[in-house]
Amino acid sequence: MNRKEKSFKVVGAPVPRADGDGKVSGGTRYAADVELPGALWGKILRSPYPHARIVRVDASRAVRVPGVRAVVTGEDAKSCYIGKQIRDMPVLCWDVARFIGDRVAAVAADTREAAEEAVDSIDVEYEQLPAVFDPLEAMKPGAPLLHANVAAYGGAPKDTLATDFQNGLTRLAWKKGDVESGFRAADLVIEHTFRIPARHQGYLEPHASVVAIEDGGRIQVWMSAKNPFGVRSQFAYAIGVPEESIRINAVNVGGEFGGKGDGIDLPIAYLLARKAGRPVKIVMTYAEELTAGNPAHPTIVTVKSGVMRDGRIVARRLRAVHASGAYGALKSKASLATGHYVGVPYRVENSEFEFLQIYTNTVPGGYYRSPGAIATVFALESHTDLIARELAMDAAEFRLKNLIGDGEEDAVGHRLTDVRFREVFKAALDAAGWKKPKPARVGRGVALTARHISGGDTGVVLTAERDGKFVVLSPTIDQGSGTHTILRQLVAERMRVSVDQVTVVVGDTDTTTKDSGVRASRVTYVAGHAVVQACDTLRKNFLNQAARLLECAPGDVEYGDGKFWLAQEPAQQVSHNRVLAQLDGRRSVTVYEDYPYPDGVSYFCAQVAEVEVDPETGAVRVRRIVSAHDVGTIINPIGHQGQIDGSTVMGFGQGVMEELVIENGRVLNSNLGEYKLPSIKDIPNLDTVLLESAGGVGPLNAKPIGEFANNCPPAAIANAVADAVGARLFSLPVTAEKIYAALAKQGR
Amino acid sequence: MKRIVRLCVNEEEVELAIEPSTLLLDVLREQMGLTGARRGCESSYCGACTVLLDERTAHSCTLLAALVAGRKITTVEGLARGAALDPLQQAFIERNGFQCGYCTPGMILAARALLLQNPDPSEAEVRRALDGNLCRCTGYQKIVESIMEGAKHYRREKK
Amino acid sequence: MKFDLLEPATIGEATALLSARADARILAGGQSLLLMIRSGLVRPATLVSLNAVGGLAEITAGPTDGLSIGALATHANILASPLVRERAPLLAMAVERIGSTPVRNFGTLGGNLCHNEMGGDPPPALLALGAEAECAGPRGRRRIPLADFFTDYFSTALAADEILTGIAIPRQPAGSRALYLKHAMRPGDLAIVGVAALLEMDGGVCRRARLALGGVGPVAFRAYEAEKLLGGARLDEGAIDAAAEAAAAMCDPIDDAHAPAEYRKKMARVFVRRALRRAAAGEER
Ligand SMILES: Cc1cc2nc3c(=O)[nH]c(=O)nc-3n(C[C@H](O)[C@H](O)[C@H](O)COP(=O)(O)OP(=O)(O)OC[C@H]3O[C@@H](n4cnc5c(N)ncnc54)[C@H](O)[C@@H]3O)c2cc1C
Repeated sequence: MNRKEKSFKVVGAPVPRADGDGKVSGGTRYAADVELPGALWGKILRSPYPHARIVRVDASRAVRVPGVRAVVTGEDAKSCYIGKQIRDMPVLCWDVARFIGDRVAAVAADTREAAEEAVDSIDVEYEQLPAVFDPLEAMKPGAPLLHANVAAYGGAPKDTLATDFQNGLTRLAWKKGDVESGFRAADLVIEHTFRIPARHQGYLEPHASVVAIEDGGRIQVWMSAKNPFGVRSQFAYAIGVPEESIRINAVNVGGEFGGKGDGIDLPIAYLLARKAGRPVKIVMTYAEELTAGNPAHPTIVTVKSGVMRDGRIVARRLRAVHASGAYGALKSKASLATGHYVGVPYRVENSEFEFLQIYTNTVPGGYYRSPGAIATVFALESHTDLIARELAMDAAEFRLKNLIGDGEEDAVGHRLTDVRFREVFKAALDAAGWKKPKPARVGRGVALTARHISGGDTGVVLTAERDGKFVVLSPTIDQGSGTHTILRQLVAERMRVSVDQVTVVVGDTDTTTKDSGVRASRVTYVAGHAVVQACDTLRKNFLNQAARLLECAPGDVEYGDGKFWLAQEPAQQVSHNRVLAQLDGRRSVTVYEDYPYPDGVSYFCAQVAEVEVDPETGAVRVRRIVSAHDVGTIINPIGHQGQIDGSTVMGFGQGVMEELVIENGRVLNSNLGEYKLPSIKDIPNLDTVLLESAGGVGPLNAKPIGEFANNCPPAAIANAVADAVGARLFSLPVTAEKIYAALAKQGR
Repeated sequence: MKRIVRLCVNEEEVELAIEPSTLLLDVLREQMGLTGARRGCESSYCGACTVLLDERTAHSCTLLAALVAGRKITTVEGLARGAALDPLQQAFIERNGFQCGYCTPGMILAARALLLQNPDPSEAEVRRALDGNLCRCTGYQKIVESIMEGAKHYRREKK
Repeated sequence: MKFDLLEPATIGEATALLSARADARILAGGQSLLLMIRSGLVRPATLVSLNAVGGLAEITAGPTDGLSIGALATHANILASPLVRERAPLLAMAVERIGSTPVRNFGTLGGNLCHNEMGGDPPPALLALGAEAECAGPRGRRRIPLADFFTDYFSTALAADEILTGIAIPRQPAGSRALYLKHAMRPGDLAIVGVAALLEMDGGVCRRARLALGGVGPVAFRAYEAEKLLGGARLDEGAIDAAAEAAAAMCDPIDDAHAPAEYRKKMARVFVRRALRRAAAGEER
């Protein structure tokens, strides 16, 4: 189906979600809701010190607490490590704990109260070690060392290790042209440094893990995870069993935003279950989430640009130093693939981009909706405004001068097709009234971003049922984005049935093909193509069989609404069921594909924030955020808009209030009263502009939408504040007291 | 020491043996299987555990079960009449007022508490009534739309 | 989290239980206490619930034209009370700004005052209204002027076996202008600074001013120094600035998750100025 054929019936309709009934009536089951007979509550003892040698663990008091069935310590898991790729994180620390919250021991008991009491009565003797928290400090020679031999860890990414630095973990780098000569040729060279704090994903469902060991040794798992296959392989490796002996059962995920791709608590639940001979459930408290989850990394970004008086950027160097935290286990390749965010939108002939991960004695960082983007976009887009100001150019004009056009090469050397950056950018400006007069203390700021999406493997089993229905067996967890509804719409469109006739069943690691999980805005692309491919094969089977029954060529068969007929003679019909009866094994189609990384396309979003600043208090009120997106065919408009609204508000939260305050390795704001998430009363007016064009790599020219509008609000807001009152912030979040301090410094 | 309490949940009376320190949330989830009250922050900030107590919005993570004996408790499981969803539930489905669904029972109950008192609320009143319920997925837009839609039915019923 | 729960039916029984058990604590709405227990900040062995004591949630007209609010009246009860709107609208303005709907539904005024968390909204309003705490204990009943009630962070003048039974509030003087302003990062957060101002005006001249601040020191306090400057003064910019300066000088804030100390102090000045300006202009919002 190409774009010309645009008479879609189901695609493009605001189809309500099939999972609605369960979600509005409480029936939807999440991991913590799984009740198994005899199940115990597990609870983890965590290190109170940022860096300490574990001298002795005495659990003798704990085992005597009534109701306690098992206690495990590092001794039970010596040399067991876990990780997405580099396995540098001990399942339970046995010699050294490296952050406040590191797992040291665990108990399983009949009740949660007993488990809590028992954990409190485990006596651990620690010998405190010197600790380091700031990545720039940690990089210095002589800084306290967290890991003696990083290269020796299983899965260490040999080609990107940054062991030339003290506490260095990884380095990703991109280079193009000759940046030094670019700087020399420039009329003006400007450098700024920005700091971005750690942030929690803020999903409401805390991590929950349930493990049961069957008599034959089969391990059953229910867990809030978005990538059952990835979790299974991490878990299998950590406990030294074959992957096939583990079944990760499907449960719903209560939001994840990157944070639920690791099975860190599974090995602990497993050890407890094995020892107690009963199933074990571990549910993190929210305080554990905030202190020992896997937040976005604190990052320091330094960016330097060489520009010409006419506004051309001729050279750029950017270095982002991420505090990895105590381990690299929670990110594949032990790094964040951030290159495309800084590389894409602008034309830069000479560039050098470097992203370092440095070990620190803080909570280990993981993924957070478009990992690394908030930090780099905030830095880059604030810097962009600062340059424009220096050149006395309008911030929008300056951007327009440097945005790449169709077929051009970006700053990291990708030649991109179907580029409509300037059009989308202008649409955002128009919708926001960029040039319109504004009241005093009101400012407008713009920021933009472009990103690639990922490919990878996935699969699907599509089966035609007797009653004319179709069942999609999918490995893709719908973590909330509505993927299953999109798959239903695609099948309905392709098979010409109503959407009610299509059911999506989520499989688990036993019943479905492998899949590399919900990530990197890839789901509609990979799962969508898989299902369309399955439809095409199934349709061919149907048409061939119908042709045989109608005694014609397959090309002469028309179909729809459960019937097949001869195109030239519509009265000549056969029913779906008759054709199906003769299909046998061909009524079910399995597709498993590894879809390529589409590196020649990049999707774009521009946002304008309008703020009002109270100069006496620094208080900033975001009045409005306009988001303009480059879209293809929108399969489900209400779901699509939901992604834009939700991600904009997430970006807004990171812009103005979200920060894990970490002092000497300790997270100070460990509840949701102090770690602030946007509430319903905080939300600015949101406006959306959608510009449709070609270039969608998804089925029917669909483009991704889940990880765009969250990236720009912090920079747009900071730029708007500078526009409103002249206060420029170099760190997030943009809070009243920082604006106040900046204004005071300017001697206002 | 455990004590016997009589709770009135979703218009049914149940007698349960509970510890005096047990929270309503734990009784609903662990003893009654009413998992629509979700375990979220457990400190009254997120609202995932919302129930109605005498038709007012309450966070079940901050109420002792023993102290609500005899009072009218409504969980999300108690809203539908047989197979028929409450109009608010229907509106949340039609308007896509949810994504991951974790906050949804709480949102619907908090909205119901408002609409029972005021079936013709302004958007600002909706926002105030839901100020104890966080959602991380939707950006709240579609939640407000869903409630405004659901309110139409509450107004009709009231007439 | 494990404790015993007792539910006395009278105040006498309640105070007797408190005297008998050193590790007991009063439970009202539980909105603060249960969180403190859950996070391990306090570990009482027994909670003495006041919920079964009759009559403690009533809001009644007081003898001298004022009103009396039972300690167990919830924030929602207060907002719904015509008597409060009529006789102490300043309190309603402050209570309206508290937390979120469920907290307003179940949190009590007594619990709020006894918990005495930095940045609470009712204390400055009640201080400006000149309220008194009505207390009961094994040694009898007593009244404590609210200005003496708050003693330190999370501490009050109540003895361990004493109970706050209610708050007595004189009627807001006729023709007075009163206003509560709150500065917070999100609407439902505790105040970075909360300012209550009550002005009795005579044309452009302030006959008497009462000014109280919260969030900017260990306890909410009356800014007497500022009040002195305001009494009898024409409320022009100069007088307002001087009063704001004096009020700010009395602040002694700390850093916390909501704001740094220095900023709180600066904001005290800004918000006192605003409150006075608006009250003087007759803007009661
Ligand atoms: C999410 C959230 C947001 C909040 N936001 C705000 C806000 O913006 N502004 C604000 O002002 N407050 C705010 N609060 C605090 C709220 O007002 C208090 O939690 C509530 O008023 C406490 O009342 P309670 O009845 O629940 O007290 P409890 O939690 O039952 O008790 C609190 C303390 O007071 C003691 N106590 C209670 N009653 C008595 C009595 N009669 N005599 C002696 N001692 C007693 C208890 O022993 C305990 O130490 C917030 C609270 C939460 C949870």
